[in-house]
Amino acid sequence: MKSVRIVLWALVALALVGAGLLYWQKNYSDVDIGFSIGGPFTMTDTKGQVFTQANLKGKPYAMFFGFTHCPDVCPTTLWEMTTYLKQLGTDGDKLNVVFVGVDHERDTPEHLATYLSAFDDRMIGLSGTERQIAEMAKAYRIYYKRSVNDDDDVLYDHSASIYLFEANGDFKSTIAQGENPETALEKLKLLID
Amino acid sequence: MRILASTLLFFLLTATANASGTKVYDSDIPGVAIAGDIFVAGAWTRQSPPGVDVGAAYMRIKNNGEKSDRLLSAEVMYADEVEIHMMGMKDGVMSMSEVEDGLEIESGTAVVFEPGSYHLMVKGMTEGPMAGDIVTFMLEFEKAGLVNILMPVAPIGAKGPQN
Repeated sequence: MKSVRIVLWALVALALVGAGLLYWQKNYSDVDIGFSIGGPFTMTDTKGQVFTQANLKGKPYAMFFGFTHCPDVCPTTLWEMTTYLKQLGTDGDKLNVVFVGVDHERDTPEHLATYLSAFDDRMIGLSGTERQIAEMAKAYRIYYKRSVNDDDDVLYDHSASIYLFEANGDFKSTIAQGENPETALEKLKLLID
Repeated sequence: MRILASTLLFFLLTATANASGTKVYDSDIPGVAIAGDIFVAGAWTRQSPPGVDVGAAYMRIKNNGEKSDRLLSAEVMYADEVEIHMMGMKDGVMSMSEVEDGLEIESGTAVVFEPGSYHLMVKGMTEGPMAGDIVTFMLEFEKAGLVNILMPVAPIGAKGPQN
């Protein structure tokens, strides 16, 4: 009985040490524990030109990932961004808004150009090869997964938040799916200021 | 008001028979239809962005009956296929999957198709509808049978029928 108690107390002590270490690491350590989002990438814009992180320098940017054959989240998010840009008016020019197509087979520069023509023309559409997309997604900590169903339809699960970055490329915050539009607009205004 | 609405529905929602003799419920009111114990309301779809042959449609389905029913399938003239899909967000990741073998609507409950949740996935659109159009979807229920429902078409990216 006594030995059981000792073991239990030892486990408690271990848990406390573990929690303490995690707390220290999160608050005081220089070790990066996963909050570095963003970084260099090489993609192609809708005009067929090479587009890298350098093209975004000097302006804060909002970036989100999706695919054009997505029936629900992607067009609604793009329309929300279009609405925000309209509300921002000329202030919207101080912001880069980037839509990254994760579907390397169908989201070609030409196709993205056609698709994005329905939305605010300030938006930048990026295409890439399978590898370029994978590398960019890794840097931006985006999850996406290609799947093929019984009918041979290609679908993608993907992170659906809008990521906001400072002009120097530092990650600032996100706009989540279903976020209050007023809060979202405030976040964009803060990003521009 | 309720009596008036019911009377109106009685006159506007009629059941006809198609060539094969199967009863098909019809409705003249966009967004609303009644098929036996099944009440469909708030139905709408939206225009898709250019160059895309997929779309989505939404509605609420209430089962007023005492027995569970099942939405088996749906179709619309301008598309090869319509599927029942569930979309979910988990930890910020959107995932979508087809609901196999139909969607159960339990007695006395409603299933809501809306952005970010259940939707009718419209596939292989030849010429997709434009905002302002009204299109007809045919829904097939296991017990209630076939029902035609008129759906208003909202603009690209709209999150509801009104915007």
